Amino acid sequence: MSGPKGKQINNKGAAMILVLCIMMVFLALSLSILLAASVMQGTARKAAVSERCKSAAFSYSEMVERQLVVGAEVISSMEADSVKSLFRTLIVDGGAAGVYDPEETADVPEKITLACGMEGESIGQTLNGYNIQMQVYWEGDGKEIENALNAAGSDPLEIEQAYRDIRLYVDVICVKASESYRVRSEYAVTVVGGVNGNPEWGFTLGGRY
Amino acid sequence: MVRRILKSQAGTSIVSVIAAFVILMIGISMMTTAIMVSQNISNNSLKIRQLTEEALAAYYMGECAEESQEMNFTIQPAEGTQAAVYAQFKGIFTTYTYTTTSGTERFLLYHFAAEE
Repeated sequence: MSGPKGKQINNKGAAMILVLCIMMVFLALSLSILLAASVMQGTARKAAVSERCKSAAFSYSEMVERQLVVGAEVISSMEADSVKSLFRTLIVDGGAAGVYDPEETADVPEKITLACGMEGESIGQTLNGYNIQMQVYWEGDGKEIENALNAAGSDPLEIEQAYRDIRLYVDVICVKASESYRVRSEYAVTVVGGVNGNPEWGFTLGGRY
Repeated sequence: MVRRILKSQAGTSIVSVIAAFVILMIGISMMTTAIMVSQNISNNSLKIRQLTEEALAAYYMGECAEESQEMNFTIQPAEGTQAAVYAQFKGIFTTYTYTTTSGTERFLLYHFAAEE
C-alpha cells in the first residue's frame, strides 16, 4: 500500500491485531459474566447453610437453657453430670482468673470451648457436617471476687459464695465449612444460702441475641 | 514458475479476512457459551434462594415433614482443657424436611429441644 507521498506503509496483520483485541474484550466479558454468576450461586448456597446453622444454633441454645434454668439447686442435690454442675465446676475451678472484669480491662476474655456430642459422636458427624460447639465465659467484679476468695481461705462454702452475682455468657456456635452462626445467651448467676455447707446455685436467663 | 507463485500476493487479503472472520466467530461462540452457562448458574442460584425461602416459610407454618428422635447429648471441655468434667442429658433431635411440589428438591432443617 502506498501513502500520499508514495511511501510504503506496511498494514499487514492490522486486521488480525484488531480481531485479537476484540477477542480479548470478549474473553474478559465472558469471564466477568461467569464470575458474577458463580458469586451469585455461592451467596445463595451460603444463605441456605446459614439458615440451617441459625435454626440449629437457636434451638440448641434453648435446649441448654432448659437444662440450666430449672430453679436454684443445692450442690448436694445437683446431678454430677448435669449442665448446671458442669458450669458451676468451670466457674469455681476458674477462680478469680477466669472472671472477665469489664471495669479492669478491655481485653477479650479467654473463653472456654466446649465440644457438643450426640449419641457418643460429635454433632457434625450426625448432621452432615453441621457441627455445634459452645464457648463460655463469665463476667463480674474481679477485685470483689478476688477479695472474697482471699477472705474465704479454704472454706468451701465461702469460696462458692464468692461467685454470687456474676453473669455467665454461653455462646452456641453452629459451623458448616466456612459458614457459622453464633447465638449468645446471658445468664445471671445466683449463689445463695449455705445450709449445712450447701449453697444453692441458680441461673436466670437475662437475654439471648 | 514456483518462485513466482510463492512471491505473488494475489488473494492474500481474502485469506486474512477469512482467518480474521474465523477467529471472530470463535470469540463470539465463546461469549455465547459463557452467557448460556452463566444464565444456567444464575437460574440455579435463584432456585436455591426460592427453595430456602419456601422451606423456611413451611418450617414456621409447621408444614414440613418431621422426624424426631430422643438422643443422648454430651457437653465437655474441648480437648486439652479439664477433660474430666462433662455433662450429659437427654433431648429431642428433629429433622424437618421440606420437599418441593415437584418432589425433586429437598431442604433439611435441624432442631433440638429439651425433653418435656
